[in-house]
Amino acid sequence: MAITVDITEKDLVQACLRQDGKAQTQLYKKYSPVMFAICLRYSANPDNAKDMLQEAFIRVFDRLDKFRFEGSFEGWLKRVAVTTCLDFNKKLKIEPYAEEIDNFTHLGAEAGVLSQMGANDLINLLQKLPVGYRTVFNLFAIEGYGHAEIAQMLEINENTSKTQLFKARKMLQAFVLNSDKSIE
Amino acid sequence: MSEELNHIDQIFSKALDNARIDPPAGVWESVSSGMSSATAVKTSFVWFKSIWLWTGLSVLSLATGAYLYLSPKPTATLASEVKGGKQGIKQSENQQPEFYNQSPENRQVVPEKNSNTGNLNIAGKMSSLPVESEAADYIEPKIQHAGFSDEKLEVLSATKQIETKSGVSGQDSRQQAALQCVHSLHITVEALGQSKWRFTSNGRSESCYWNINSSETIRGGAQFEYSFEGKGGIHFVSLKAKNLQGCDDTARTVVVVQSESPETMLFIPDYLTPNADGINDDLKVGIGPVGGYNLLVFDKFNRQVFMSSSPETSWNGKAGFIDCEPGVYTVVLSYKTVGSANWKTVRKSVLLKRGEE
Repeated sequence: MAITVDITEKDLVQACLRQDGKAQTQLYKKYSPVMFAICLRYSANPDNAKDMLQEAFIRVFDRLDKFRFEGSFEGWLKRVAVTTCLDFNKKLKIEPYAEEIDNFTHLGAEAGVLSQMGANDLINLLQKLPVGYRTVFNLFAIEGYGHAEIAQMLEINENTSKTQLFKARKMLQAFVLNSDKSIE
Repeated sequence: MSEELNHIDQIFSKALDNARIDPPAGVWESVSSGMSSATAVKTSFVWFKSIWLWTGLSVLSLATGAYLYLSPKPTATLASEVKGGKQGIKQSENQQPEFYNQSPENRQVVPEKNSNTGNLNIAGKMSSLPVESEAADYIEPKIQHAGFSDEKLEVLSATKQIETKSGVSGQDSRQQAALQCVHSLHITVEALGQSKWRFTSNGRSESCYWNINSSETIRGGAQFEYSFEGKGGIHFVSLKAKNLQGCDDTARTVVVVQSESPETMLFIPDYLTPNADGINDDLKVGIGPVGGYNLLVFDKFNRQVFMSSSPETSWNGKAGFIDCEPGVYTVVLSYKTVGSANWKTVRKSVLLKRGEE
Protein backbone atom coordinates (compact mmCIF):
# COMPACT_ATOMS: atom_id res chain seq x y z
CA MET A 1 0.00 0.00 0.00
CA ALA A 2 1.39 3.32 -1.01
CA ILE A 3 -0.40 5.29 1.67
CA THR A 4 0.73 4.50 5.17
CA VAL A 5 -1.10 5.09 8.43
CA ASP A 6 1.23 7.94 9.27
CA ILE A 7 0.07 10.05 6.38
CA THR A 8 -1.09 13.48 7.50
CA GLU A 9 -4.67 14.66 7.30
CA LYS A 10 -3.79 17.37 4.82
CA ASP A 11 -2.08 14.96 2.44
CA LEU A 12 -4.97 12.57 2.70
CA VAL A 13 -7.54 15.28 1.92
CA GLN A 14 -5.49 16.58 -0.97
CA ALA A 15 -5.13 13.08 -2.37
CA CYS A 16 -8.87 12.66 -2.10
CA LEU A 17 -9.34 15.93 -3.95
CA ARG A 18 -7.22 14.51 -6.76
CA GLN A 19 -9.83 11.70 -6.94
CA ASP A 20 -7.26 9.20 -5.68
CA GLY A 21 -9.35 6.09 -5.06
CA LYS A 22 -6.98 4.63 -2.51
CA ALA A 23 -6.90 7.84 -0.52
CA GLN A 24 -10.70 7.96 -0.52
CA THR A 25 -10.91 4.43 0.82
CA GLN A 26 -8.32 5.33 3.44
CA LEU A 27 -10.30 8.38 4.51
CA TYR A 28 -13.44 6.30 4.76
CA LYS A 29 -11.70 3.64 6.81
CA LYS A 30 -10.19 6.19 9.15
CA TYR A 31 -13.29 8.24 9.88
CA SER A 32 -16.26 5.96 9.24
CA PRO A 33 -16.38 4.57 12.82
CA VAL A 34 -16.65 8.08 14.25
CA MET A 35 -19.21 9.08 11.67
CA PHE A 36 -21.20 5.89 12.15
CA ALA A 37 -21.37 6.47 15.90
CA ILE A 38 -22.87 9.89 15.20
CA CYS A 39 -25.34 8.49 12.70
CA LEU A 40 -26.41 5.81 15.18
CA ARG A 41 -27.08 8.48 17.79
CA TYR A 42 -29.37 10.41 15.47
CA SER A 43 -31.17 7.48 13.94
CA ALA A 44 -34.04 5.35 15.10
CA ASN A 45 -32.41 2.11 14.00
CA PRO A 46 -29.13 0.81 12.52
CA ASP A 47 -30.62 0.62 9.04
CA ASN A 48 -31.35 4.33 9.01
CA ALA A 49 -27.88 4.95 10.47
CA LYS A 50 -26.36 3.07 7.55
CA ASP A 51 -28.24 5.22 5.05
CA MET A 52 -27.21 8.34 6.94
CA LEU A 53 -23.57 7.30 6.89
CA GLN A 54 -23.71 6.72 3.18
CA GLU A 55 -25.27 10.11 2.53
CA ALA A 56 -22.83 11.76 4.90
CA PHE A 57 -19.79 10.37 3.07
CA ILE A 58 -21.19 11.27 -0.32
CA ARG A 59 -21.62 14.77 1.01
CA VAL A 60 -18.12 14.78 2.50
CA PHE A 61 -16.47 13.87 -0.81
CA ASP A 62 -18.75 16.27 -2.63
CA ARG A 63 -17.76 19.22 -0.47
CA LEU A 64 -14.20 18.27 0.34
CA ASP A 65 -12.92 21.18 -1.77
CA LYS A 66 -14.73 23.56 0.61
CA PHE A 67 -12.61 22.43 3.57
CA ARG A 68 -10.03 25.19 4.14
CA PHE A 69 -7.66 23.31 6.51
CA GLU A 70 -8.42 25.92 9.14
CA GLY A 71 -10.08 23.88 11.87
CA SER A 72 -9.89 20.22 12.72
CA PHE A 73 -10.78 17.96 9.84
CA GLU A 74 -12.54 15.54 12.15
CA GLY A 75 -14.65 18.37 13.55
CA TRP A 76 -15.63 19.34 10.03
CA LEU A 77 -16.51 15.74 9.22
CA LYS A 78 -18.62 15.51 12.36
CA ARG A 79 -20.50 18.67 11.48
CA VAL A 80 -21.22 17.31 8.03
CA ALA A 81 -22.46 14.08 9.59
CA VAL A 82 -24.73 15.90 12.01
CA THR A 83 -26.23 18.09 9.28
CA THR A 84 -26.79 15.06 7.09
CA CYS A 85 -28.53 13.27 9.95
CA LEU A 86 -30.78 16.27 10.59
CA ASP A 87 -31.67 16.48 6.91
CA PHE A 88 -32.28 12.76 6.80
CA ASN A 89 -34.67 12.89 9.72
CA LYS A 90 -36.42 15.84 8.14
CA LYS A 91 -36.92 13.81 4.97
CA LEU A 92 -38.43 10.92 6.92
CA LYS A 93 -41.59 13.02 7.14
CA ILE A 94 -42.15 12.39 10.80
CA GLU A 95 -43.54 15.30 12.77
CA PRO A 96 -40.66 15.34 15.20
CA TYR A 97 -41.53 18.17 17.51
CA ALA A 98 -45.07 17.26 18.38
CA GLU A 99 -45.79 16.50 22.01
CA GLU A 100 -45.21 12.82 22.05
CA ILE A 101 -45.94 10.08 24.51
CA ASP A 102 -46.38 11.30 28.05
CA ASN A 103 -46.58 7.87 29.52
CA PHE A 104 -43.49 6.06 28.44
CA THR A 105 -42.96 3.60 31.26
CA HIS A 106 -43.44 0.67 28.93
CA LEU A 107 -40.45 1.68 26.83
CA GLY A 108 -37.62 0.80 29.22
CA ALA A 109 -36.93 -2.49 30.91
CA GLU A 110 -33.43 -3.35 29.83
CA ALA A 111 -29.82 -2.36 30.33
CA GLY A 112 -28.13 -1.83 33.67
CA VAL A 113 -27.04 1.27 35.50
CA LEU A 114 -26.03 4.05 33.12
CA SER A 115 -22.36 4.39 33.99
CA GLN A 116 -21.81 0.70 33.57
CA MET A 117 -23.35 0.83 30.14
CA GLY A 118 -21.25 0.78 27.03
CA ALA A 119 -21.64 3.09 24.08
CA ASN A 120 -23.78 0.52 22.29
CA ASP A 121 -26.25 0.28 25.15
CA LEU A 122 -26.47 4.04 25.47
CA ILE A 123 -27.10 4.30 21.75
CA ASN A 124 -29.84 1.71 22.07
CA LEU A 125 -31.47 3.90 24.70
CA LEU A 126 -31.13 6.99 22.51
CA GLN A 127 -32.68 5.20 19.57
CA LYS A 128 -35.75 4.50 21.65
CA LEU A 129 -36.40 8.22 22.13
CA PRO A 130 -38.82 9.99 19.80
CA VAL A 131 -36.88 11.64 17.01
CA GLY A 132 -37.39 15.19 18.34
CA TYR A 133 -36.15 14.34 21.84
CA ARG A 134 -33.24 12.40 20.41
CA THR A 135 -32.14 15.16 18.09
CA VAL A 136 -32.25 17.91 20.70
CA PHE A 137 -30.57 15.76 23.33
CA ASN A 138 -27.77 14.83 20.93
CA LEU A 139 -27.21 18.40 19.83
CA PHE A 140 -27.25 19.78 23.37
CA ALA A 141 -25.61 17.10 25.50
CA ILE A 142 -23.10 15.60 23.09
CA GLU A 143 -22.47 18.15 20.34
CA GLY A 144 -22.65 20.94 22.90
CA TYR A 145 -24.84 23.43 21.06
CA GLY A 146 -26.89 26.03 22.94
CA HIS A 147 -30.65 26.18 22.79
CA ALA A 148 -30.58 29.24 20.55
CA GLU A 149 -28.37 27.47 18.02
CA ILE A 150 -30.48 24.32 18.16
CA ALA A 151 -33.62 26.34 17.63
CA GLN A 152 -32.06 27.90 14.55
CA MET A 153 -30.77 24.62 13.16
CA LEU A 154 -34.04 22.78 13.57
CA GLU A 155 -36.22 25.79 12.77
CA ILE A 156 -38.07 25.44 16.02
CA ASN A 157 -38.81 27.65 18.99
CA GLU A 158 -36.09 28.00 21.62
CA ASN A 159 -38.57 26.96 24.28
CA THR A 160 -39.48 23.90 22.28
CA SER A 161 -35.83 22.95 22.30
CA LYS A 162 -35.70 23.30 26.08
CA THR A 163 -38.85 21.28 26.55
CA GLN A 164 -37.64 18.55 24.25
CA LEU A 165 -34.34 18.32 26.11
CA PHE A 166 -36.11 18.15 29.45
CA LYS A 167 -38.43 15.45 28.22
CA ALA A 168 -35.56 13.50 26.68
CA ARG A 169 -33.70 13.48 30.00
CA LYS A 170 -36.84 12.49 31.83
CA MET A 171 -37.44 9.65 29.44
CA LEU A 172 -33.87 8.40 29.71
CA GLN A 173 -34.26 8.48 33.49
CA ALA A 174 -37.45 6.50 33.18
CA PHE A 175 -35.62 3.88 31.14
CA VAL A 176 -33.00 3.51 33.83
CA LEU A 177 -35.47 3.48 36.70
CA ASN A 178 -37.53 0.88 34.92
CA SER A 179 -34.53 -1.28 34.29
CA ASP A 180 -33.72 -1.05 38.02
CA LYS A 181 -37.18 -2.29 38.84
CA SER A 182 -36.85 -5.15 36.44
CA ILE A 183 -33.55 -6.11 38.07
CA GLU A 184 -35.10 -6.13 41.51
CA MET B 1 -27.74 6.48 41.49
CA SER B 2 -29.54 9.80 41.76
CA GLU B 3 -26.30 11.61 40.98
CA GLU B 4 -26.05 9.51 37.92
CA LEU B 5 -29.49 10.56 36.85
CA ASN B 6 -28.63 14.19 37.36
CA HIS B 7 -25.65 13.82 35.14
CA ILE B 8 -27.28 12.02 32.27
CA ASP B 9 -25.85 14.57 29.86
CA GLN B 10 -22.29 14.02 31.00
CA ILE B 11 -22.61 10.24 30.96
CA PHE B 12 -23.84 10.26 27.41
CA SER B 13 -21.34 12.80 26.18
CA LYS B 14 -18.42 11.03 27.86
CA ALA B 15 -19.39 7.70 26.40
CA LEU B 16 -20.50 8.87 22.99
CA ASP B 17 -18.61 12.04 22.10
CA ASN B 18 -15.72 10.22 20.53
CA ALA B 19 -17.35 6.86 20.19
CA ARG B 20 -16.18 4.71 17.34
CA ILE B 21 -18.43 2.05 15.98
CA ASP B 22 -17.47 0.14 12.90
CA PRO B 23 -20.10 0.52 10.23
CA PRO B 24 -21.49 -2.57 8.55
CA ALA B 25 -19.83 -3.71 5.37
CA GLY B 26 -21.15 -2.54 2.06
CA VAL B 27 -21.53 1.13 2.94
CA TRP B 28 -18.26 2.07 1.28
CA GLU B 29 -19.27 0.30 -1.90
CA SER B 30 -22.48 2.26 -2.13
CA VAL B 31 -20.67 5.47 -1.19
CA SER B 32 -18.10 5.09 -3.92
CA SER B 33 -20.71 4.13 -6.51
CA GLY B 34 -22.93 7.00 -5.38
CA MET B 35 -19.93 9.31 -5.52
CA SER B 36 -19.06 8.48 -9.11
CA SER B 37 -22.65 9.01 -10.22
CA ALA B 38 -22.76 12.21 -8.19
CA THR B 39 -19.65 13.59 -9.89
CA ALA B 40 -21.05 12.60 -13.27
CA VAL B 41 -24.23 14.44 -12.46
CA LYS B 42 -22.23 17.39 -11.26
CA THR B 43 -20.23 17.75 -14.46
CA SER B 44 -23.26 17.23 -16.65
CA PHE B 45 -25.07 19.79 -14.55
CA VAL B 46 -22.39 22.35 -15.25
CA TRP B 47 -22.68 21.59 -18.95
CA PHE B 48 -26.44 21.86 -18.71
CA LYS B 49 -26.12 25.10 -16.84
CA SER B 50 -24.26 26.76 -19.72
CA ILE B 51 -26.72 25.32 -22.21
CA TRP B 52 -29.60 26.73 -20.21
CA LEU B 53 -27.88 30.07 -19.94
CA TRP B 54 -27.55 30.33 -23.70
CA THR B 55 -31.06 29.05 -24.35
CA GLY B 56 -32.43 31.49 -21.84
CA LEU B 57 -30.58 34.39 -23.40
CA SER B 58 -31.64 33.54 -26.91
CA VAL B 59 -35.26 33.03 -25.86
CA LEU B 60 -35.15 36.33 -24.04
CA SER B 61 -33.82 38.21 -27.04
CA LEU B 62 -36.31 36.50 -29.35
CA ALA B 63 -39.12 37.36 -26.97
CA THR B 64 -38.03 40.99 -26.80
CA GLY B 65 -37.97 41.12 -30.57
CA ALA B 66 -41.43 39.57 -30.76
CA TYR B 67 -42.69 41.98 -28.16
CA LEU B 68 -41.39 44.95 -30.06
CA TYR B 69 -42.80 43.62 -33.28
CA LEU B 70 -46.27 43.09 -31.81
CA SER B 71 -46.36 46.19 -29.64
CA PRO B 72 -49.01 48.69 -30.79
CA LYS B 73 -46.47 51.04 -32.36
CA PRO B 74 -46.75 50.46 -36.08
CA THR B 75 -44.45 53.41 -36.85
CA ALA B 76 -41.48 51.92 -34.97
CA THR B 77 -38.75 51.29 -37.50
CA LEU B 78 -36.11 48.58 -37.34
CA ALA B 79 -33.38 51.12 -36.63
CA SER B 80 -35.09 52.50 -33.56
CA GLU B 81 -35.89 49.09 -32.20
CA VAL B 82 -33.20 49.13 -29.53
CA LYS B 83 -34.36 52.43 -28.11
CA GLY B 84 -37.96 51.43 -28.58
CA GLY B 85 -37.29 48.24 -26.67
CA LYS B 86 -36.21 50.13 -23.58
CA GLN B 87 -39.15 52.44 -23.87
CA GLY B 88 -41.49 49.54 -24.41
CA ILE B 89 -40.41 47.85 -21.23
CA LYS B 90 -40.74 51.05 -19.28
CA GLN B 91 -44.17 51.58 -20.67
CA SER B 92 -45.26 48.12 -19.76
CA GLU B 93 -44.20 48.88 -16.22
CA ASN B 94 -46.27 52.00 -16.08
CA GLN B 95 -49.24 51.33 -18.31
CA GLN B 96 -51.10 48.25 -17.35
CA PRO B 97 -53.82 48.42 -20.02
CA GLU B 98 -51.25 48.30 -22.80
CA PHE B 99 -49.64 45.36 -21.11
CA TYR B 100 -52.91 43.50 -20.99
CA ASN B 101 -53.42 44.09 -24.68
CA GLN B 102 -50.36 42.04 -25.54
CA SER B 103 -50.64 38.56 -26.90
CA PRO B 104 -50.28 35.83 -24.26
CA GLU B 105 -46.75 34.86 -25.35
CA ASN B 106 -45.50 38.34 -24.62
CA ARG B 107 -47.33 38.57 -21.39
CA GLN B 108 -45.47 35.56 -20.12
CA VAL B 109 -42.11 37.02 -20.97
CA VAL B 110 -42.55 40.60 -19.85
CA PRO B 111 -43.58 39.89 -16.26
CA GLU B 112 -40.36 37.91 -15.80
CA LYS B 113 -38.41 41.01 -16.67
CA ASN B 114 -40.45 43.07 -14.28
CA SER B 115 -40.31 40.55 -11.52
CA ASN B 116 -39.39 43.32 -9.13
CA THR B 117 -42.57 45.26 -9.70
CA GLY B 118 -45.24 43.56 -7.63
CA ASN B 119 -48.49 44.11 -9.50
CA LEU B 120 -47.35 43.09 -12.91
CA ASN B 121 -45.65 40.02 -11.61
CA ILE B 122 -48.80 38.80 -9.98
CA ALA B 123 -50.78 39.60 -13.09
CA GLY B 124 -48.31 37.61 -15.14
CA LYS B 125 -48.57 34.64 -12.87
CA MET B 126 -52.32 34.79 -12.97
CA SER B 127 -52.51 34.97 -16.71
CA SER B 128 -50.11 32.09 -17.08
CA LEU B 129 -51.58 29.88 -14.38
CA PRO B 130 -53.08 27.21 -16.58
CA VAL B 131 -50.09 26.95 -18.91
CA GLU B 132 -46.80 27.24 -17.08
CA SER B 133 -45.17 24.73 -14.83
CA GLU B 134 -44.99 27.51 -12.28
CA ALA B 135 -48.68 26.97 -11.91
CA ALA B 136 -48.08 23.49 -10.54
CA ASP B 137 -45.95 24.92 -7.74
CA TYR B 138 -48.69 27.37 -7.08
CA ILE B 139 -51.46 24.85 -6.80
CA GLU B 140 -49.66 22.03 -5.07
CA PRO B 141 -49.87 23.31 -1.48
CA LYS B 142 -53.56 23.85 -1.92
CA ILE B 143 -54.00 20.25 -2.96
CA GLN B 144 -52.07 19.10 0.06
CA HIS B 145 -54.22 21.26 2.22
CA ALA B 146 -57.31 19.86 0.64
CA GLY B 147 -56.01 16.39 1.38
CA PHE B 148 -55.59 17.24 5.02
CA SER B 149 -59.05 18.70 5.29
CA ASP B 150 -60.45 15.65 3.53
CA GLU B 151 -58.94 13.45 6.16
CA LYS B 152 -60.42 15.63 8.83
CA LEU B 153 -63.76 15.51 7.09
CA GLU B 154 -63.61 11.76 6.98
CA VAL B 155 -62.98 11.64 10.70
CA LEU B 156 -65.78 14.09 11.28
CA SER B 157 -68.22 12.16 9.16
CA ALA B 158 -67.22 8.98 10.96
CA THR B 159 -68.03 10.48 14.34
CA LYS B 160 -71.22 11.91 12.92
CA GLN B 161 -72.25 8.47 11.75
CA ILE B 162 -71.79 7.14 15.22
CA GLU B 163 -73.80 10.02 16.60
CA THR B 164 -76.61 9.53 14.13
CA LYS B 165 -76.63 5.82 14.83
CA SER B 166 -77.24 6.42 18.50
CA GLY B 167 -79.70 9.15 17.54
CA VAL B 168 -81.64 6.72 15.37
CA SER B 169 -81.96 4.22 18.15
CA GLY B 170 -83.24 6.95 20.45
CA GLN B 171 -85.68 8.07 17.82
CA ASP B 172 -86.90 4.54 17.34
CA SER B 173 -87.96 4.17 20.95
CA ARG B 174 -89.56 7.58 20.85
CA GLN B 175 -91.40 6.74 17.67
CA GLN B 176 -92.66 3.53 19.19
CA ALA B 177 -94.00 5.48 22.16
CA ALA B 178 -95.55 8.00 19.83
CA LEU B 179 -97.50 5.23 18.15
CA GLN B 180 -99.31 4.60 21.39
CA CYS B 181 -99.58 8.20 22.63
CA VAL B 182 -101.24 11.04 20.84
CA HIS B 183 -99.77 14.38 21.82
CA SER B 184 -102.50 16.92 21.84
CA LEU B 185 -102.01 18.78 25.10
CA HIS B 186 -102.29 22.52 24.94
CA ILE B 187 -103.03 25.44 27.23
CA THR B 188 -105.71 28.09 26.85
CA VAL B 189 -104.87 31.44 28.43
CA GLU B 190 -107.41 33.85 29.88
CA ALA B 191 -106.70 37.19 31.49
CA LEU B 192 -108.60 37.73 34.72
CA GLY B 193 -107.27 41.15 35.60
CA GLN B 194 -104.24 43.41 35.39
CA SER B 195 -101.85 40.68 36.43
CA LYS B 196 -103.95 37.61 37.12
CA TRP B 197 -104.26 34.87 34.54
CA ARG B 198 -106.13 31.62 34.19
CA PHE B 199 -104.59 28.69 32.37
CA THR B 200 -106.77 25.80 31.23
CA SER B 201 -105.49 22.46 30.00
CA ASN B 202 -107.47 20.53 27.44
CA GLY B 203 -106.69 17.29 29.19
CA ARG B 204 -108.84 15.80 31.90
CA SER B 205 -106.04 14.54 34.05
CA GLU B 206 -106.09 15.17 37.74
CA SER B 207 -102.32 15.48 38.13
CA CYS B 208 -101.09 18.51 36.21
CA TYR B 209 -97.72 20.04 36.99
CA TRP B 210 -97.65 23.74 36.19
CA ASN B 211 -94.27 25.37 35.89
CA ILE B 212 -93.66 29.11 35.83
CA ASN B 213 -90.43 30.40 34.30
CA SER B 214 -88.69 27.01 34.83
CA SER B 215 -88.39 27.79 38.50
CA GLU B 216 -91.68 27.35 40.35
CA THR B 217 -93.66 24.12 39.93
CA ILE B 218 -97.20 23.85 41.25
CA ARG B 219 -99.29 20.71 41.23
CA GLY B 220 -102.87 21.45 40.30
CA GLY B 221 -105.83 20.43 38.23
CA ALA B 222 -106.74 21.07 34.64
CA GLN B 223 -107.49 24.65 35.51
CA PHE B 224 -104.86 26.84 37.09
CA GLU B 225 -104.84 30.46 38.16
CA TYR B 226 -101.77 32.48 38.82
CA SER B 227 -101.14 36.09 39.75
CA PHE B 228 -98.09 37.89 38.46
CA GLU B 229 -98.61 40.79 40.84
CA GLY B 230 -95.60 43.09 40.73
CA LYS B 231 -93.81 40.85 38.21
CA GLY B 232 -94.19 42.70 34.96
CA GLY B 233 -92.57 41.31 31.86
CA ILE B 234 -92.55 38.05 29.93
CA HIS B 235 -93.41 34.81 31.67
CA PHE B 236 -93.16 31.26 30.41
CA VAL B 237 -95.74 28.82 31.70
CA SER B 238 -95.40 25.11 30.94
CA LEU B 239 -97.60 22.16 31.81
CA LYS B 240 -96.68 18.55 32.26
CA ALA B 241 -99.54 16.10 32.48
CA LYS B 242 -100.44 12.44 32.02
CA ASN B 243 -103.35 11.47 29.82
CA LEU B 244 -105.72 8.55 30.36
CA GLN B 245 -103.43 6.13 28.50
CA GLY B 246 -100.64 7.08 30.88
CA CYS B 247 -98.66 9.03 28.29
CA ASP B 248 -96.63 12.03 29.37
CA ASP B 249 -97.18 15.23 27.49
CA THR B 250 -96.05 18.81 27.84
CA ALA B 251 -97.43 22.13 26.65
CA ARG B 252 -96.03 25.60 26.87
CA THR B 253 -97.34 29.12 26.67
CA VAL B 254 -96.14 32.69 27.10
CA VAL B 255 -97.84 35.58 28.85
CA VAL B 256 -96.77 39.21 28.82
CA VAL B 257 -97.65 41.04 31.98
CA GLN B 258 -97.94 44.81 31.94
CA SER B 259 -96.02 46.23 34.80
CA GLU B 260 -96.50 49.11 37.17
CA SER B 261 -92.82 50.00 36.87
CA PRO B 262 -91.92 51.36 33.41
CA GLU B 263 -88.35 50.00 33.36
CA THR B 264 -89.59 46.40 33.00
CA MET B 265 -90.57 47.18 29.45
CA LEU B 266 -87.87 49.74 28.81
CA PHE B 267 -86.14 49.37 25.48
CA ILE B 268 -84.08 51.89 23.53
CA PRO B 269 -82.88 50.66 20.13
CA ASP B 270 -79.17 50.70 19.25
CA TYR B 271 -79.58 52.48 15.95
CA LEU B 272 -82.03 54.02 13.50
CA THR B 273 -81.97 54.15 9.71
CA PRO B 274 -84.27 56.95 8.52
CA ASN B 275 -84.73 56.00 4.85
CA ALA B 276 -88.53 55.53 4.82
CA ASP B 277 -88.36 51.77 4.24
CA GLY B 278 -90.45 51.08 7.31
CA ILE B 279 -87.62 49.35 9.19
CA ASN B 280 -86.03 51.24 12.09
CA ASP B 281 -86.97 54.52 10.49
CA ASP B 282 -87.33 56.20 13.83
CA LEU B 283 -86.17 55.65 17.38
CA LYS B 284 -89.12 53.95 19.06
CA VAL B 285 -88.55 53.77 22.78
CA GLY B 286 -90.40 50.94 24.44
CA ILE B 287 -91.53 51.69 27.97
CA GLY B 288 -94.28 50.65 30.38
CA PRO B 289 -96.94 53.00 31.73
CA VAL B 290 -95.33 56.22 32.89
CA GLY B 291 -96.44 59.19 34.94
CA GLY B 292 -93.96 61.45 33.20
CA TYR B 293 -91.73 61.11 30.13
CA ASN B 294 -89.02 63.24 28.61
CA LEU B 295 -86.77 62.22 25.77
CA LEU B 296 -83.83 64.36 24.71
CA VAL B 297 -81.41 63.61 21.87
CA PHE B 298 -78.01 65.31 21.66
CA ASP B 299 -75.44 65.23 18.88
CA LYS B 300 -71.74 64.70 19.39
CA PHE B 301 -71.21 68.44 20.04
CA ASN B 302 -73.77 68.18 22.83
CA ARG B 303 -76.35 70.22 20.93
CA GLN B 304 -79.93 69.17 21.50
CA VAL B 305 -81.53 67.96 18.26
CA PHE B 306 -84.78 66.48 19.50
CA MET B 307 -87.16 66.58 22.43
CA SER B 308 -90.31 64.65 23.19
CA SER B 309 -92.58 64.36 26.19
CA SER B 310 -94.67 61.42 25.05
CA PRO B 311 -93.61 57.80 24.36
CA GLU B 312 -95.71 57.94 21.19
CA THR B 313 -93.57 60.66 19.64
CA SER B 314 -90.33 59.13 18.43
CA TRP B 315 -87.22 60.67 16.89
CA ASN B 316 -87.03 60.35 13.11
CA GLY B 317 -83.41 61.41 12.70
CA LYS B 318 -84.21 65.07 12.01
CA ALA B 319 -83.34 68.24 13.85
CA GLY B 320 -86.44 70.25 13.10
CA PHE B 321 -86.78 69.87 9.32
CA ILE B 322 -83.13 69.15 8.63
CA ASP B 323 -81.75 65.62 8.34
CA CYS B 324 -79.09 64.93 10.95
CA GLU B 325 -75.68 63.72 9.91
CA PRO B 326 -75.08 60.01 10.37
CA GLY B 327 -73.14 59.27 13.54
CA VAL B 328 -73.49 58.69 17.22
CA TYR B 329 -76.18 60.52 19.19
CA THR B 330 -76.81 60.49 22.90
CA VAL B 331 -80.32 59.73 24.09
CA VAL B 332 -81.28 60.94 27.56
CA LEU B 333 -84.56 59.54 28.78
CA SER B 334 -86.24 60.76 31.94
CA TYR B 335 -89.41 59.11 33.23
CA LYS B 336 -91.35 58.58 36.41
CA THR B 337 -93.64 55.82 37.58
CA VAL B 338 -97.35 56.52 37.78
CA GLY B 339 -98.16 58.20 41.08
CA SER B 340 -94.52 58.79 41.93
CA ALA B 341 -92.66 62.09 42.06
CA ASN B 342 -89.17 60.67 41.48
CA TRP B 343 -87.70 61.08 38.04
CA LYS B 344 -85.30 58.46 36.77
CA THR B 345 -82.82 59.05 33.98
CA VAL B 346 -81.35 56.63 31.44
CA ARG B 347 -78.58 57.55 28.98
CA LYS B 348 -77.69 55.64 25.87
CA SER B 349 -75.69 56.16 22.69
CA VAL B 350 -77.55 55.38 19.49
CA LEU B 351 -76.20 55.23 15.98
CA LEU B 352 -77.84 57.13 13.15
CA LYS B 353 -77.17 55.33 9.89
CA ARG B 354 -77.87 56.61 6.43
CA GLY B 355 -77.56 54.85 3.12
CA GLU B 356 -78.18 51.49 4.76
CA GLU B 357 -81.17 49.33 5.38
